[in-house]
Amino acid sequence: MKLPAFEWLPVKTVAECVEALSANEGVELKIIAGGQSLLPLMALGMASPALLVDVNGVEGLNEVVERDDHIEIGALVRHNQLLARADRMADFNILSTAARHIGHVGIRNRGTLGGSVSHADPASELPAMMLLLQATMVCESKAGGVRSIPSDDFFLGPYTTAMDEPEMLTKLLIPRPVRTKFGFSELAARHGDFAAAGAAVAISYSQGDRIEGIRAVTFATNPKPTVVSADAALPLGEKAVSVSWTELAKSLSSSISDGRKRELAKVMLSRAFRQAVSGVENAY
Amino acid sequence: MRNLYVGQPIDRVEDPKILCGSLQYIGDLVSAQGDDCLHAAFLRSSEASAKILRIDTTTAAKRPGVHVVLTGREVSAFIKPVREQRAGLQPDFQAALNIECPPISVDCMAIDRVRYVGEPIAVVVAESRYIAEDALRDIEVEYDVTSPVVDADEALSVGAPLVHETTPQNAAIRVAFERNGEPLPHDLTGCIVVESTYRMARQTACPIECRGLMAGPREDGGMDIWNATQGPQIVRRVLCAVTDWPIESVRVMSPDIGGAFGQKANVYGEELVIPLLAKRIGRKIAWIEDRYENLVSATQGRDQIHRVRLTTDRKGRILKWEDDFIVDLGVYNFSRIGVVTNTAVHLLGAYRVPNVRITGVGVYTNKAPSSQFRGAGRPEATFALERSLDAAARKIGMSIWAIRELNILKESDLPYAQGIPYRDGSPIVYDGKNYLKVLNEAKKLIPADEIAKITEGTRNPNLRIGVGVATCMEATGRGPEPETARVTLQATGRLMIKTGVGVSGQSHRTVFAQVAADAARIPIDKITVTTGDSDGVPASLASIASRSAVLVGSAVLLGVEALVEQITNKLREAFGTESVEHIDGGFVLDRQRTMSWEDVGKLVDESNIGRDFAEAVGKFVPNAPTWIMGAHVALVQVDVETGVTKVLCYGVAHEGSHSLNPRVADGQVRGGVAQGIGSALLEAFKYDEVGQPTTANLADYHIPSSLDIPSVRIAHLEVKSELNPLGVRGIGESGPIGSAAAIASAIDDALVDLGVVVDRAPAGFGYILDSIIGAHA
Repeated sequence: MKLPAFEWLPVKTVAECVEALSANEGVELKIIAGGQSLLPLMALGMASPALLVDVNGVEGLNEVVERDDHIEIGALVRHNQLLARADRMADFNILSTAARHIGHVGIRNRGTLGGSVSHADPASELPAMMLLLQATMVCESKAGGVRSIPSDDFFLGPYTTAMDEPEMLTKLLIPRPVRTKFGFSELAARHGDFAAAGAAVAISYSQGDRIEGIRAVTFATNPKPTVVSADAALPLGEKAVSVSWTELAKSLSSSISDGRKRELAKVMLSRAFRQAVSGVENAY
Repeated sequence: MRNLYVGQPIDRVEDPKILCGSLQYIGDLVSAQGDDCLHAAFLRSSEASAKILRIDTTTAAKRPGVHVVLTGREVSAFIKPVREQRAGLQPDFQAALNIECPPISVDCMAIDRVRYVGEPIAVVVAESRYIAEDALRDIEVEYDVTSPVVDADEALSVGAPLVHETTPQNAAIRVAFERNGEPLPHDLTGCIVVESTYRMARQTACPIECRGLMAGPREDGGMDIWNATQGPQIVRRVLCAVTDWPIESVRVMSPDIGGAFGQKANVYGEELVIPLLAKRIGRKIAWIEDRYENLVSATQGRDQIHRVRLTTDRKGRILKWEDDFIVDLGVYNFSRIGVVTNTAVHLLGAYRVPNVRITGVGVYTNKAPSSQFRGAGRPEATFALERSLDAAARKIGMSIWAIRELNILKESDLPYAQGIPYRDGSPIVYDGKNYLKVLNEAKKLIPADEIAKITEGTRNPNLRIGVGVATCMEATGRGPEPETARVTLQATGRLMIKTGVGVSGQSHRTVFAQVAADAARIPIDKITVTTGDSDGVPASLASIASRSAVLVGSAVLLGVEALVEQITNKLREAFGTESVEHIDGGFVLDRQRTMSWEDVGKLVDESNIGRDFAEAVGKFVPNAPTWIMGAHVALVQVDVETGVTKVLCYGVAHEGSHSLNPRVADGQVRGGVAQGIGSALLEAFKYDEVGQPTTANLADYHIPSSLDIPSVRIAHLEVKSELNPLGVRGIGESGPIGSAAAIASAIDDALVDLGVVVDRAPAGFGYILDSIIGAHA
């Protein structure tokens, strides 16, 4: 379980990084940030990149900047930073709720948001959060410069994203939610394990407490994190108390093909909705 | 013997080092060697069953930093196969249990054929583990894959492929016994008969520290070996058997061990090949196992199927108990007699069972080897019997407590002879006092008002609360292999106590010092206990089978007593007086002259009276095992929408002996329960249909974390054992034996209105969901 031999190239700036990615086109390379997914894969012999471009030293990517209508999260922000900042980012508390489910403290101390989103594990919490919050991924390459990819177009399949090979993810922009309540629910064999199924929901309200929008995402249920509310009939204009959330959860999960996953997604969605409406987290 | 230290919850001498991270595990010893030590890595089979057509090691051998690359066939020129360590089955035992057990021998590494994924087929010795692993990737192997045996039932079927050609039907061991104590009623109408099949999954010990050893050739031609083993003298004996090296030329020392649980009592090919290579290369060589290797090639356990029938009268009194069970042993199990017969005899449980019919068979399959994983057949036997009692109670409509109270052995029944012998040939006699009392104490550990409070406080209708119980038996401290302790008075007046077994957290250095200090009547800080050195004592087996407190502890006691007697005699002789008395802190001559241990120690160096008197060896072998009985009670919460079970409260009432150190004893129970909760809810080592392991990492093989384990409540009922001079009973395995059964019982209770009956361990959330759906279908 020792790592196979590889070249290690530390970079200090985004410019240096995209230069290195471009210069090594054709080389089997990986960007390494926290390494919490990549290193185990390498140790198990399931990945053996010839070159690791180490971005841990890149300045300016490990900060969360709050703007009026959105926040910018650097790709190197660690999961524990999302937890620690919970009080200052009240509008984005759902991020810390989700981050609590990632592995354990050691993993959260090293794992990064950019790494998790780029890795695009279908069972991961944070890619699903980006989808829920309609984040914009900012990527950069030498040839293509800076470009933005909306989360709806970003995740293509298991471990596959819309980023091109020589591109790096630099930051994630998340619009500030307005009059929105969130809910999150995940099932795992033990706390911190890969999810067996998970769901996150956002319910936005009008000034008069009527439902204006519902966005629901499931993860570990499909080959990629999935918005399940897009084409569904939603109880818009209703008050939360008059909605049958269990029924809605059932209809939103109906498109999931695997039977067991569908059942679990229904339960997770239902719990996430109840949490969003009541503000109380369930035991599971 | 005074009791100043024994029975006291004194601090462990091991703790400062554990807490400061300064214990010396095998990896630490190897690191300290720096470049003086070479590192080995093993190429392991990627196939469950195949002929090896070709292995090409030429590229690997040329890699810079590589010293040697050898295939299994090449190694076999210098080393013989491992023949089983059994000294011969005890004849009475073999006859009573009708044991058939064809012997096998196991090659140290695969020769021309592989039998499980993970089997070592080539070894590289290099400057570092990194280089060695890179060289492994250079080795080319061509396999001719053959059909594997992966299902225990199919292994026994006619025409199934044979894992070992010498074992027909893959039947590694068969046992059968029947006992008809009282005739069944002619008319069984009105009797209750429950039949079912219960399964416990393949599980593995998962010690935090994996296996490892370092072998260093000595200038005198001998070999020093540091090996994270529970049994240094077992390793030495097997190594000398396969190499023909003289016993006295090999010294095996076990350093601090980070968990063992029976997995490190097995002797593995790696432990034999590394010393051989060290000898041939003339350098120190280390092999430190990694987690993948540990999960696919270190011994596993459990993996049993029980097909049972329990007959009771209409009031729930047991009339007859029948079980036909199968144990999937994997590719080999050197402890298969122990595991399979343990299962058989512990099926008798803590009850009055007039009629019994039991058959058991252990089968070889193309999976990792197995050994005596903590409990070694007892958790599985307990699961089958206790589940059946719950089933009968349900059918009758009586409580799970009432059926046990009716059948359990009471004060008037004990001691209780089962009429069959144990492995050592002694008749099985439960030397307990009152098992009904233990059951009642267990009930008090989670009292009814607390259960009511928790149930009422659980407002979410998806969360169900249930309470379950299971009782269990364990034979501890068995013979016939003895333990010895060498007790030496040093010139400084300190007592040096050498013991032989390897320890992995059982606090031997503390508890045996407690025993010795009381026996010698000196302060405990004047005593040093060492462990795990093959050369330290004349005879030793291993820290297995809940036997160390009984056997090693008694040997220490006898050794100190012998030393005191030798000193007394020597003082009589040297000072010409009959009046020598052993008192606190030393000896008194002629009722006036006091000699401290320091004073006596000085005699060793300074006088001309000879030093033989300053050393004594204590030896103990019990005439029969001494039994313990436990009752486990669990309160669980089951989420009916997700199938997830959480253990909220857990209690163990336990009839053992007095504790040498209550904190150490409680720690053994608590750690064992943690392992048992893993067994009950999480742990399953799985293979697919072609014998590929699918849980070969800790993301897929789920061991419980602290979040899964509640605090464990313990009630000790102390009954002195008459079978050893310390009067103690073993405790090391009592934790996991009852857990899976108690938790399954609690899940049944939680889901009673859904009709769910747990028939396997682990009962993971997927299984519970399936059961809920199945019960409705």
